[in-house]
Amino acid sequence: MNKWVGKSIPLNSGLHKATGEVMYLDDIEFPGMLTGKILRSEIAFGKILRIDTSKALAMPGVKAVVTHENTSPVLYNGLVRSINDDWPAQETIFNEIIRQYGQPIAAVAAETEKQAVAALKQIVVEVEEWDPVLDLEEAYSNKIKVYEEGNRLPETVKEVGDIEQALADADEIIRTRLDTPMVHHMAIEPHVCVADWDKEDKLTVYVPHQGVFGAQIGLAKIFNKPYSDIRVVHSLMGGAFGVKVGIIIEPICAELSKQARRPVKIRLTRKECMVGTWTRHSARLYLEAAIKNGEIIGMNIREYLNAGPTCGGTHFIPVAQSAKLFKLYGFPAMKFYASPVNTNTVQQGAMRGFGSPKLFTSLEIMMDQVARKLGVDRVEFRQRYLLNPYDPNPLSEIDLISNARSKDCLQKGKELFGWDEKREEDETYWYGNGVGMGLHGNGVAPHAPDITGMTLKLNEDGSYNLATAICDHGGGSYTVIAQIIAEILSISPDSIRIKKPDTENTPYDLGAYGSRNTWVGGNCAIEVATVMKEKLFHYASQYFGCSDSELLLEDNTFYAHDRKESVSVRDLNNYVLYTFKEKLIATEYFSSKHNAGSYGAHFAKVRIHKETKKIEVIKYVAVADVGTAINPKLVEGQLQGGIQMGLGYALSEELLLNERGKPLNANLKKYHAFHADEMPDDLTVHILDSHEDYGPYGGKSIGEAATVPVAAAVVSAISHALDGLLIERIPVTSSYLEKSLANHQ
Amino acid sequence: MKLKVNDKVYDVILEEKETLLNMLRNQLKLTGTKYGCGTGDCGACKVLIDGMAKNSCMIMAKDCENKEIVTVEGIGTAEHPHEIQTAFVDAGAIQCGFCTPGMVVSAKALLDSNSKPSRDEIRQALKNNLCRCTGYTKIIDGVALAAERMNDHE
Ligand code: FES
Ligand code: FES
Repeated sequence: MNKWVGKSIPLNSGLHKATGEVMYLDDIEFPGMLTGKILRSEIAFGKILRIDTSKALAMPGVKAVVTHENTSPVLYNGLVRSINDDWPAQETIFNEIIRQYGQPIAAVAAETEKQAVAALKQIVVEVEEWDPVLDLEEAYSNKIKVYEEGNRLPETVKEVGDIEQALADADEIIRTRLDTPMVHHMAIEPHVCVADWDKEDKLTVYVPHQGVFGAQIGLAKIFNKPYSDIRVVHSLMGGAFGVKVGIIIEPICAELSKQARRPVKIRLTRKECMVGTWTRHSARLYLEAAIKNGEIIGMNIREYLNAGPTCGGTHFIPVAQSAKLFKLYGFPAMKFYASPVNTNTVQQGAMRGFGSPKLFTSLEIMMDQVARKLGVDRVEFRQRYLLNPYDPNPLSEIDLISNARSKDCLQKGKELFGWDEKREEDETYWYGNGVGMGLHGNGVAPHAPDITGMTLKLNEDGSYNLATAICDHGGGSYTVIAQIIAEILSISPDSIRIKKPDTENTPYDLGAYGSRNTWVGGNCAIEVATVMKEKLFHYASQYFGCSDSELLLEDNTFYAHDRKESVSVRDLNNYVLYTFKEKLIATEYFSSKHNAGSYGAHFAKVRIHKETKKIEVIKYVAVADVGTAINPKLVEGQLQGGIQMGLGYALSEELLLNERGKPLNANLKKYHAFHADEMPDDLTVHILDSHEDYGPYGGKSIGEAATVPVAAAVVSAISHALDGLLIERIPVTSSYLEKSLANHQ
Repeated sequence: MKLKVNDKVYDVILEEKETLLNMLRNQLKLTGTKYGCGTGDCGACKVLIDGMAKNSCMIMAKDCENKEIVTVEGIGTAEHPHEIQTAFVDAGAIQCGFCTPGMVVSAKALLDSNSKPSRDEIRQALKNNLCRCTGYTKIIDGVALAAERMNDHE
């Protein structure tokens, strides 16, 4: 029986967050700190003909002004994971070519924010504007080129079976398409960074970053400095969702600090976060299902994926997508082709789900269409194709399916939801029921090194410090890690203090993305705590003069000789220190070999107002296969948060650009995410009772998986309410429905 | 000018067009109140002004003379937390915590005027506070739990 694992203990630091006493980076002042502000482009594509900063430099309080003319011209990719990654490098700190609205063209550091803002207004910029390319297929055609070499980035092709043959053999081919939007991550904490380029030429960057070691790689390349002279320190994170993985404002902040030789803080405005960081990749997907004798014999998927002006990790999205795609349904043949392209939209990048939400939404729309055509219940139809636990992975021998419980999720959800294919309507509303399936992964193994390290130190008083470069986005990774260590060392999770990521003082971690924290971090926590435990047992057995098996460790105390004798770990530590002159500390690295899927089956009921076409989600059920829930309440919280994000994806959230590439709704009034009063009150989240072989205590991730099936379920319900209407874009707004219903008739 | 915040009177120097949010954070170092948007759309900057939850980014500091301002720091501290704050912890209402001060302020305004709110009244009271982490469910649970405990104590 576990004492801590599986228990819903409250979040680490929760009370201090509730009282506002925790410090986020923007709450901290550094001695001598300046404020940095960025001047951004008002056009989407063009060239800077002239830039004059002399007036700005002469303004009161101004300590540095930087532009493409006086900063590092090094081309980089801010997302690379290792020193030798040859990912397309299209970024520079500044560039005379403008490739998106909101691109930084200059920055100022001044004593106060007001002075910095005033100085920005004095910078004179002359630009030449060109016609931008915004549509994905137009970009693919290379008629307008964002770069001389053209717009196409490295593509992905994955195929099992023979799709050409399947399409040729089919009695019928069903075709669907889906456009998916640019979505603002909306971490409530805006992007913020402090850079301190000190007099000894060492650069220290403080930032709520998802991967400090990744940030170090990019900064070292840009500034051509040894890694040892670049320190990246993580600050408490007020939400991330993928948009704090790369380096975005860090290089500008560092340049300002380098030139001013003072610490500089940049904190973006909300509008800057919306247009000057990145959004979820927009995409267009085309699907073809080959049908023969009432069965799917082939599925063909073609995706155009928007990178925006620079590649970043975009080319990696389809690689990740394909790793999930083939782990859900088994079709005799399936092909996935994806082409990422550069455009002049705002920059696109990683966001919770990393390509899975759009992919599974499009696939689930197809599953609905086929089931409907064949006259089969939509849940039953899916059950036919879902893979079973321990099935072989059709795509990869090393990437295991293991205990994938998607069928059980679907069955459980069906019961909890009270699934019914019958459509209802009344005078005012149409009602519809929908279902959506999907999964996300656990880290980046087995195809890439997926490593994290931890150092666990026993203090004199019997408390522990853990150093890890895994960051807690807020979802509770540190709570989960502390629970695991507490379980093994028989202590209370409160007696472990976790040190935040710092390239100088915490062991290496790849980065807190790809839903790695529970999976890789949890496993590493087991290893490091186990090593510590072995050491403790070793010395305790010497202390008592008995064998390990006669010892009992309970509440940070060793008992021996049938509990007749005891020694606290505090006193044991002292004994070790003075008798053996040894300090008890353990460092372990864990490298993940497997990558399980975290599955979900979501169900939604919508009602659509017949006049206004307003869509409301009135009931929602999510069932998740996370293996063992190490902290069930935290898992629920992830699911509920993932549902909020998914509902916006399905119904309301979309950053809009006009035909010149200028944003139309870059504020939180016009850009609409779900508010508290819009969430379905009838919302059930259920954690399937399961166990994953390679997971820590049988657990696996939920952070990203939580949001993957949401839009699929909602769109399925909308389509059901409207007699099978084919939805070809998300978000499904009232005006979109209005139009497509008119075309449908 | 004088500003009364959390029962303390401060002498402050007014800068031109200074919002209450900036005044609280920059001059008074009350950093529990957060900037999330600066346009009155997220609620991270909510404070109580004469008992009403208001977005401090939309209010000029100069308009706050002779008003009672309460920030999250004035509601409770880790040493002496308010029931709302402990209920938030127990209900799992907090993840990254960045929206939390604003949520606590909105909850306080609600519970001060309505000690037994329905779930729907809670949802309405929180509808101008954005949270990206929790999906609101556990925040609503937290406010309901706080109300329940506060009523039990009476
Ligand atoms: S910062 Fe005031 S409402 Fe968002
Ligand atoms: S807890 Fe992160 S925004 Fe609400």
